[in-house]
Amino acid sequence: MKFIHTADWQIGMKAAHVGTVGARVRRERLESARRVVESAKDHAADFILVAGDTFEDNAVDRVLVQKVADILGGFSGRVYIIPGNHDPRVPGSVWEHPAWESHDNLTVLCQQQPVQVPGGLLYPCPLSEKHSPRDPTAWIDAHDETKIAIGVAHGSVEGIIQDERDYPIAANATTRAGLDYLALGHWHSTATYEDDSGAFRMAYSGTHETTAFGERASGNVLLVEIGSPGDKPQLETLRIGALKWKQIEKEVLSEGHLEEVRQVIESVEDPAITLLELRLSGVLHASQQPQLTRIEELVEARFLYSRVQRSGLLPEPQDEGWVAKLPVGPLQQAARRLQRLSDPAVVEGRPESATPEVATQALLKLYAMLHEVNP
Amino acid sequence: MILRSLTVEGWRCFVKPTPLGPFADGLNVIHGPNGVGKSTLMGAMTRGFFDNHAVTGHAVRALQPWGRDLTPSVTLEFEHEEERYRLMKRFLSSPFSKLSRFEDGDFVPLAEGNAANERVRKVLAGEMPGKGVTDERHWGLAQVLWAPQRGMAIQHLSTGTAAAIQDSLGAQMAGLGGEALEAKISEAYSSVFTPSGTLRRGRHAPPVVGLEEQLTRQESKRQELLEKLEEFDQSSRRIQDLTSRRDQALRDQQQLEKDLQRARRRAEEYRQVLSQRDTQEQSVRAAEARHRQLQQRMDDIHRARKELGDIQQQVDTTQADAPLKLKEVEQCRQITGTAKSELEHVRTRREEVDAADSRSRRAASYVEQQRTLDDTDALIEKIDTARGQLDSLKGQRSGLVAPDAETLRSIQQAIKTRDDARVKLEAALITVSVVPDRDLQLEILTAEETGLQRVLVGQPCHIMGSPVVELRVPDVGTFRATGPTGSVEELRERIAEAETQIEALAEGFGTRNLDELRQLRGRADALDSEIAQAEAVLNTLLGDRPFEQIQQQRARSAKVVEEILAEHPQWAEESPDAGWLELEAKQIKESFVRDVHAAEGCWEKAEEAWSLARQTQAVHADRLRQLEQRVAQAQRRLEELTADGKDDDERKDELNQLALEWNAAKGLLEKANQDLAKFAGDPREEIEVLKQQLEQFEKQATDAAAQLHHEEGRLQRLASDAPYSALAEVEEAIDWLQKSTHGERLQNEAVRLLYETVSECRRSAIEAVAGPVEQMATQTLHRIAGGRLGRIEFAETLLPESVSPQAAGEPVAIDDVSGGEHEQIHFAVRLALANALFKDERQPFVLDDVFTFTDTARLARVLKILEEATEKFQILVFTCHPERYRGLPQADFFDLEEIVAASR
Repeated sequence: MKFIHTADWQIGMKAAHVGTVGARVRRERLESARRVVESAKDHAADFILVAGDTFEDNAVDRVLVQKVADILGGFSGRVYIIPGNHDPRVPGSVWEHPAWESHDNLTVLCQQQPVQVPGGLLYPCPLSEKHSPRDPTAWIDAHDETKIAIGVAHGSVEGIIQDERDYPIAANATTRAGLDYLALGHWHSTATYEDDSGAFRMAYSGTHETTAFGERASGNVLLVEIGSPGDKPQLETLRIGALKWKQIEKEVLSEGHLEEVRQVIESVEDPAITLLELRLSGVLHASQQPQLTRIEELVEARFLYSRVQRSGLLPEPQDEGWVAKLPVGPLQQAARRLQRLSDPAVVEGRPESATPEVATQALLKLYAMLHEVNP
Repeated sequence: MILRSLTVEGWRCFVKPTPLGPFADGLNVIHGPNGVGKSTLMGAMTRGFFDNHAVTGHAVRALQPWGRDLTPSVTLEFEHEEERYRLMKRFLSSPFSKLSRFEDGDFVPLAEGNAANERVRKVLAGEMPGKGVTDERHWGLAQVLWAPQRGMAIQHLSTGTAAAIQDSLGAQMAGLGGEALEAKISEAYSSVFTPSGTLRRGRHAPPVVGLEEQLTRQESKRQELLEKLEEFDQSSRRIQDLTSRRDQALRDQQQLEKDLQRARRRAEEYRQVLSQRDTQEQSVRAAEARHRQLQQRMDDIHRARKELGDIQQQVDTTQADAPLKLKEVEQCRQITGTAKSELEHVRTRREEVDAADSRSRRAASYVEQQRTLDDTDALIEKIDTARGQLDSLKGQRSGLVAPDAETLRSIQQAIKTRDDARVKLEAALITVSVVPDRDLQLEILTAEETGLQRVLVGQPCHIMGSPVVELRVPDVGTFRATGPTGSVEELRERIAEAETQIEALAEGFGTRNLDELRQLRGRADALDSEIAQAEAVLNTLLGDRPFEQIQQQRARSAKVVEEILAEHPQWAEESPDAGWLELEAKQIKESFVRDVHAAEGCWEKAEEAWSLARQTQAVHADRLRQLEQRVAQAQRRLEELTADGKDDDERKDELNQLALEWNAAKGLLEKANQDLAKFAGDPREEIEVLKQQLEQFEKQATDAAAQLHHEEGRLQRLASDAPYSALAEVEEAIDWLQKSTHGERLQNEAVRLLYETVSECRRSAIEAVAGPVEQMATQTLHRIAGGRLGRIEFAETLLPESVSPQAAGEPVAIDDVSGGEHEQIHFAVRLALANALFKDERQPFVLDDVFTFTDTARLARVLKILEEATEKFQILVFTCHPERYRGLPQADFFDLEEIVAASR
């Protein structure tokens, strides 16, 4: 038995955190779905298992449902899908759409009932509500099964830290249920679980396309191969995702550090398909403002998406050089007062609207105006 | 900085090179008459120090001497920070600027062009003009130090100068050249905010306004989509609920149908038992009815027989009373007829009563009218008498001509005027008295009376005249007496006028004698009084009525009397006694009324008794008829009851047989009831309940199915709207807008914070410096003008605003003080500011003819202060009154007229 284990496509997801390129991110998830099918073909998989959350929500555009059905329909083997907690089988769900009837190889598994699959028996655990404290695999008992028994479920393996027990799945679920392999969905990072025998019989494939900054080991599917009942499953992680989500954090302590940041940014490969989050902290000399502006222009121009967080960048408190150039009197006094207000540690005497961030910007503006008046 | 010399050429009235200097470190007085060019020299100083050499325009061309195309140039030599400099500037044609420094015995070039301009400006912290020539705003510290003609008041204090003053006072404020930067900050602020601090709106609104509007729209859309998404979820849940409800209703329906079938079977059994019981009940009721019917008939026959006997007995008694009732009616009828006849007889006396009453009233009328007739005749006679007297008095009055009171007063006044004039005339005439010793024949030539007059010895003779009395005594001579002229003629004219007036007024009265005239007036007044009295008597008699009305009244009374006498001619001989006749008529009437009332009472009683007898007789007859009818009815009833053809014994036997049948039917009914009691209730009622329940469940199932169908359609529509996908796009747009808005707000708030911080620092600094300067200026003012004006108070601009004289009680604007004090206040302010500005290096303090309104005494005090000021300042005074400054022994005087003459 050889199949592709995938999950959490989250088709139609909103990408508010990347603003204007949200549509591009959504499109890319469909493209990655196509690559999943191509990969299954390339590896001669018997079938594909989609372990829930194919769609971000049941209220997504129905055109997307048809597109996903068409993409999966393009696979020569069978495709088995279970509804997840994002797209549970409820009235009005995406699973009522006629698109699922338009391809013979597609099976949406809506009952907790074993079904025959090429080379064995599949125990599906579909979800019919968004949240539940029950273990969706609890019903499975495949101990007496003579064929290869696999399960497909959507939930959180016990041990994962979360606020509430939401579809908990026992860490020994495969042993308890007598399964050769349990394909899981819900968490976006690829993760495997080893049982007492040292076999990896339970795994999260992770999402096929990364969804956010900081999401590790995502953008994959698992190719699973099981020789015969009781054999250890052979797992291979296949890279599917196209977009790169890169985070760069840098503490600026001297004038040379911004130059280093620029060099790092310029060395990033494939910036056109990279979403970049640049977080700067430390101190900013007034004279570094043009350099910072240059970096902002650079990332804006080159990367698919960029976000520069500079709120942690505070003006150099001892930067007396340019302040001394200000006309002695109210302007110098104002500059020193703004320097003081830009320090987050200063609380006393701070007007309500004069946050450190506002004060920093005010100081930078004064610096820029000074250079406009006295170039 | 110390100004050492000044040379101008081709500069207004200075055509040729005109040097002025060298100036002393202390006091320098440059004097000359009006028009010699004092203010031109001060203008040359400011142009030299602050203007760009290449500046063009009308203001610079105006520097050329009139009618000459010369190139204005100025050379200034000065010392600054222990170095000596020479500045040469030429304007218009081939303009240049050159600054040289005295090194090793000669001036060596230091800077040229704009560099030279800038270096020199810096000496006094001047500011570069944007375009064109400079004005006081660009003079820097010279705004304080240099007072142009008619400009003792400082019009404007640049930020740099104010800052320099503060710096000098150690208030941490200065900032030469900060205006441009502050302007930049203000510009940035006003491009975003209104003066009141709100964001600008409209065409010039900052980007954040548009972004916020977009954000609001997107958030509104987001809210709609969230609601729609919630609606989608709710609809989904509702479908689940409706499905459950429909399925449950169907299950309940099936169960009820089974219960209903069972209930129907039991109901059929119940119906059969119930039918048997009903049959038995009918049998019992039929037997009971027959038994009761026969028993009833037998009782009715017995009662009918008894009733018939009773009624027949009453008929017999009633028939026996009938003749007595008829007789009583007849007796009453006869009594009534007798009473009615008596009444009619009494009523025939009505005519006698009316005749007596008529006679009484006519007698009273006759007496009344006869009295009226007599009174009217007496009145007419009195009126005729009064009329005769009045006519007689009026005839006498019309024959008497007398002056009225007004005329009499006029005549009296004219006589008085005449008599007064006569007395005055006699007093005014010259009187010559002659008492001759012998008889004389005097010839009076001029006097009141002229001619010859014989005068006897010893007898005085008075000759009067005016203005001259002239007389001749034969053989003696002519005597002439003279006096004042004028008044005598005037008095004579007054007498003549009075005489004429008296004549005119008294004409027609037959006399001019005032007493006689007064008597005439008295007689006339007496007659008028008598006429008025006679008229009053006549009017009293008439009583506001015309005489004709009295005559008509008399005629009416006479006619009535005549008519009554025609009816009663005997009253002509003897007048009737109206009182007696009235009493007689009253007695007749009372007797008649009494008799009528008595007769009517008798007749009404008889009528009432007759009516009662008739009613009693009618009632009796009616009762008899009713009794006879009841006898007939009782007989018919008895016949009906006994129509079965049976006798009483036969009926008793039948009644016993019916009682036995009734008892048998009751036994069968008891058994049927026992069978029915085996059922707990009526199964048919259970069927009805079950039917209603079934209908409800059917309805619930139908409703749930319909709602489900409706909800499924709704959910499908909601799903087709894809609210989540739309929400994804909107939230992405919101994220972008929020970030952009945050960025813009951050920038705007930064601009606001920068602007407000600078403004606040500026305010604080100005407040800090104002105090010391105020104190210094006030001290100087008090030395010049005394303490009368109180303290000088400064505005935020560091310029004086008001003084606070104690007498006023409140601050007085500086523009409201006198011209002299106005220039003294501003002098004190300039000096205080200059003292605040300069601690170390000596500076030129220039005054161009500014003390024009200050009196001599105060000017002397000003000079004393100026003399003291030379310890810190070089003083240059331009004036056309050098004599005012001669009291300054240490001053250097420069006669500009001489200098100009020397330069020619």
